[in-house]
Amino acid sequence: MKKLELDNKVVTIGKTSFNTENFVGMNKKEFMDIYSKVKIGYDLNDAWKILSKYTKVPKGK
Amino acid sequence: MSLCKCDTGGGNLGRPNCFGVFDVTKQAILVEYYTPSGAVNGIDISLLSAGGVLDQAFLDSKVKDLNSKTRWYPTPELKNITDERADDITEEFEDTSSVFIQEGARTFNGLIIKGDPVLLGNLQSWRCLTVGVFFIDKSGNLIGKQTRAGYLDPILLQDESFSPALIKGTDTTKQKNSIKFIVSQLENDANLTMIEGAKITANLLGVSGLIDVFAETPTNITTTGFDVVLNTGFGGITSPIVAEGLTASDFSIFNETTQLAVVPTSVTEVSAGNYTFVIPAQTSLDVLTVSNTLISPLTKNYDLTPFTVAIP
Repeated sequence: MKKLELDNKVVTIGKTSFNTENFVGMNKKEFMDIYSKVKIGYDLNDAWKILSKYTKVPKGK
Repeated sequence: MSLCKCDTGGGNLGRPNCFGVFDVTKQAILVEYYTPSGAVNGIDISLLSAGGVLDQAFLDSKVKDLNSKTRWYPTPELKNITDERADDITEEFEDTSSVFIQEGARTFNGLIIKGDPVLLGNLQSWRCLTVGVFFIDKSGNLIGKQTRAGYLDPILLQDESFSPALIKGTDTTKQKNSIKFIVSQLENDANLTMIEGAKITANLLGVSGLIDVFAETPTNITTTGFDVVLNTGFGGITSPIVAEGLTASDFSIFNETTQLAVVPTSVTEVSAGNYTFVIPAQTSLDVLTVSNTLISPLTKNYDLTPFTVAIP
């Protein structure tokens, strides 16, 4: 069950598997700064569109 | 271990009309005979699915077990199997009669086609261990022994009897590994039993063991990431076969300096076996250890040897 939970946190886009829990609180500029140097095999703007939904800080945190 | 039953007499010799028998062995599953807790490393029948079915999830939990001490290690397919007992040991008398003393040793031989030095090295590492073995036969039965209620246990091998070898190819033959071992004299063939293939829904016949993965020296190390090439031990010295298809969920990273886990933000397979890790910012001079995910069973057929990353 734990494995399933972890897999649910990993999103694969192009050649890259992203751990979505690390995207909480991240903004587009930070994302672009990090991944402009990484060949993720996908358009960065399109990747951000997918990953931006994981950036919301959960209530109570 | 006495086979005689002096109080009850001989055993009944009737048989049901229809029953399964062992078929020729196609694979062996090597296990460490004892778990770290000291128990025999057997199959707890109560942990199988309803109706005593061995399903894929159960098989994966054994073959891809994160704990190398309890993991199952299936061999590739075996050929030219011989699994025979030597002649009984008897005492002979001057009148040419003889009496039974004990059974001869059961010796197993098999060949792994396209065996190679890497596999040989891994097989040799079993020689010093207390080894148990399950067999998978051609009908997909899983064969072990039952000497305690509720368990199918591995068959104990005689200490130091495990002997693999590399047989080089010839003009007319393929390169092979051979394996040979002797079943412990503590074992009794009458205790052999099986989970029948009809009760196995997992892809048992042909199951593959894990492949070792080794990292080359990490490069392009910064506080927020690094690159690393991951190879299997197979291939040529200048043309290693790489480990492909790993993702963020296949790794765990531990900061040895701060003693904290580091969750990788992303893992990119830039080219086959060549991975770029992005990690949350670490402090200069921290040392990270990258290893298999900490969650068992593993999802891929790879067993990563931990490697370190020294943050500059």
